[in-house]
Amino acid sequence: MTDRAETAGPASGMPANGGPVVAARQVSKRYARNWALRAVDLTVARGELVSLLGPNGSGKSTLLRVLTGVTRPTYGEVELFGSALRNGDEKRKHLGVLPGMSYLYGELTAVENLRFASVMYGLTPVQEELVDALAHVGLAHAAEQQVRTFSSGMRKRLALARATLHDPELVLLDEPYGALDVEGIGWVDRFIKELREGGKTLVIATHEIGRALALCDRAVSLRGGRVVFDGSTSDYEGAIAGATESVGLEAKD
Amino acid sequence: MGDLRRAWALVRKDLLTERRSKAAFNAMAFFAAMVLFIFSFALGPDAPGMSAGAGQTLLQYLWPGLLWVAIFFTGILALGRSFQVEQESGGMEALRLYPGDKKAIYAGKLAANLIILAAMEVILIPVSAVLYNIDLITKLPALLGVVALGTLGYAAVGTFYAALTANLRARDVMLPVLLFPIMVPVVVAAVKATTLVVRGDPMGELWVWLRIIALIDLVLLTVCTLTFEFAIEE
Amino acid sequence: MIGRIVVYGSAFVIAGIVVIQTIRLAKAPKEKAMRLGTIVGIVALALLAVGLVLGMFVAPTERMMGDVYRIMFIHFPSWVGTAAGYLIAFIASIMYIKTREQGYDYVAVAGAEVGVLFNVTGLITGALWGRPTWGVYWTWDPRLTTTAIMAITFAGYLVLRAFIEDPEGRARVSSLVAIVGFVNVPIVYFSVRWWRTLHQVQSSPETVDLAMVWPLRLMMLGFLLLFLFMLTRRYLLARLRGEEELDLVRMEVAGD
Repeated sequence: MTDRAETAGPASGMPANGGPVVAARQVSKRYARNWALRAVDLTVARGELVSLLGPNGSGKSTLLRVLTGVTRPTYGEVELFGSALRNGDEKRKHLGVLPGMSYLYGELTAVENLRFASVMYGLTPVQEELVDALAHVGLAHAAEQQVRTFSSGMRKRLALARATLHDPELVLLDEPYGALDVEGIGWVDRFIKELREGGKTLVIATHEIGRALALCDRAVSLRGGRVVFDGSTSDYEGAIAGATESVGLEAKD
Repeated sequence: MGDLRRAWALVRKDLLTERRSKAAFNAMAFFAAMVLFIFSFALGPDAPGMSAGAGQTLLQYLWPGLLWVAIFFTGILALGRSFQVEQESGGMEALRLYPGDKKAIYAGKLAANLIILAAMEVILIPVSAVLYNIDLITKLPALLGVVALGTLGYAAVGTFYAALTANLRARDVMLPVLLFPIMVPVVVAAVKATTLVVRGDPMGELWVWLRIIALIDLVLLTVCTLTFEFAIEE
Repeated sequence: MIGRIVVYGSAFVIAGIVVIQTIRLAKAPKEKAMRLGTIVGIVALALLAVGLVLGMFVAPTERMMGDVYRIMFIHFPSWVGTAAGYLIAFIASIMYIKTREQGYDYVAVAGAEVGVLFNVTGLITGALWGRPTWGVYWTWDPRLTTTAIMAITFAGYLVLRAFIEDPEGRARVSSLVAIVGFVNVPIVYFSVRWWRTLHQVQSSPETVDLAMVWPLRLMMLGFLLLFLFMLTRRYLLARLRGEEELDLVRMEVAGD
C-alpha cells in the first residue's frame, strides 16, 4: 500500500475534469431468456453517495457487475471515469469492489489473501500494512488463519478490507451488511462512514434500506431490472411515507 | 513490470493452494499409477515385441506412446482443476476486477500448470522406466527436452480451454473433447521424437522433430495468448 | 508450377469472395437472403442433376476400379462444402469476437453445421470407396487424418453449443473454439504429412481420366451451390430463432 492514490491526470487514468465517475446508458442485460436489466440509465458524480435499492431479483447485483466491467451488457454502454473499460485498463486501480460473493481463497490465510490482492492491484505489499488493514476490520487476530475456517461475517469483513486495499476513488458495495451479526454491522457502518469522510464516491446495493438512507444522499430503486426511482434520499423517504399511508388507508377499508 | 508480478503472484497462489489441499496431486498420482499398471497387465509384461527386434518386450516397444498417453490423461486432471480453484471461491470475477493485462492471468495459470505437470512427469518417467525395464540414463537430457516441449504445447491449449469451460456444467466432459483434436499434432510429434530418443536416431531426425514441436507450440501459444482475454469473460 | 499457382490462387480468390459474401449475409435483410438462397438452390439442383446423370451413366467404367469409382462424384465435391463451411465459421467467429453482433454467430453456426454435414458425407463415401478399391476402409494419411480431425473439432463445437443456454456466452465460447480449431487444421495436416513421409504408405490415386473430368467439375460446382443454399437456410433458421427471443424482449424494454 505504498502507492497512495495519485492526483487526477492522464497518467493515473482518472479524468482531470469534473465529469461523471460512472455513466450507464440504456444498459440492458440478459441471461438466457431472463432480462435482468432493462434500459437502465445511471450517472454518478464524484463524491456522491448512492444507495441502490430494490427487492431480490431486481437487478442490483447485475447492475453493479455491469458497472465494474465484470460483465458485458447485452445492449447499452458503460463508462468509468469518462471512458469505456478496456483490457489492461489502469483505471481499475481506482475502482474498489465488494462483490456479491466473497471471492476469497479458502486455502489461503487472511494475510495471504490480502497480499495476493495487493500485488494484483499493482501495489507492493508490506506485512505491517496488511495487518493494519486487517485490524481495521477487526480481523488482526485471525491474520494467519485459513479463510475456510472463517464465518461468513468474517469473510465479509475480509472482503471489505480487500476492496479498499488500494485506496480507490470509487467503491461499489454489493450487500455489505449481508449475513452479519450486530457487531459485524457495526464494523461495516464505521467502515462506510470512513469512506464517506474520505471523500470517496460510493454506490451501495443493499436490503438494509434504513441504514442505506442514513448514510447516502441519493437513492436509486430498481424493480424488475428497471429504474423506478432516482432522486435524493429525502424525496425517497417522502415517497415511501406516501405509499405506506395509502396502503394503510386501503387496508382499513 | 506489474503484469509479470501479477503472473508470478498467481503462480505462487496456485502452488500454495495445491500444496495445502493436495487435491489435484493426489488424484493425479493415483491415476498415473493406475494407468501404468493397467498397461502392464493389458499388454503383458513379458510379451515379445515386434519388428524392433533385439528381444524387446511389447511394453518396451510401446513405451514412448504409453508415456504420452499417461501424461495426457493424467494431465487433464490438473488442467481441469486449474480454474476450478477460481470457480470454487465464487467465480473468476475477482480476476476480472484487477487492473493489468489479462494475458498475465494466462501466463500465471500456464506456468502453474506446467510446474504441476512437470512434477507429475518427474515421477512418471522414472517409475515407468523401472516398471517396464527401460534404460534411460544416457538419454535423459534429450528425453527431458522432448517432454518439456510436448508438455508446453499441451499446457498452452489446456489452460486456455480450461478457462473457457470453467463455468460449464459439462466441464469435465467438454475439456477432453475440445482438447483432443488440438493435441493430435503434439502427440504425433512428441511420440515420434520420444521414440527416436529411446531407440536410437540413425538418420539424425530428432532435431527436425524438435523444431516441429517448437513450431506447433509457438503457434498454439500465440493464438491462445491473443484470445485469452475473451476466454475469461463472463 | 505455374499451373499450381493459378489453381491455388484462384481457389483462394473464390474462397475469399464466398467468405465475404457470406459475412455480408449476416447483415442482409431476411427476405433477400431467402430469395438468394432459393435461386442458388435451384441452380444447384440443375447442376447436380446433370452431373449425376453424366457421372452415373455417361462416364465410362474405370479400367481398374470398376463402377465403384463413381462414388467419387460425391466424395470429392463434398470437400468443397467442408472447406467452405469451416472457413466461413472461422471468419465469422473472428468477426463476432470483434463486433459482438449476433448475426455473425448465426453465420458461424450455419457454416460449422453444414460443414460437418459435408465432412461426414466425405468420410463415409471415402470409406465406401476405399474398401473395394484399396482393401481398406481407412488409412492414416495426412488428408484423411486432417478431415477426421476437422469433423471431431467442429462436432465438438456443435456439442459445446448445446450445453450453453445464454446466447452471448454461447456465441463467445464457440467462436473461440472455432478459431483455435481452424488454426489447428493446417497444423494437423503438416505434422501428419511429415510423420508419414518417413514411413512407406500407399498414396491414394490422384489422376482422373479426362472423360470423367466434366461430370466431376459439374458436381463440384453443384455442391458448392448446394452448400451455399444450405448455409443460407441454416443461417436464416438461426437468425429467426435468435430474433424471436429478442423481439419479445425489445417490446418489453421499449414499452411502458
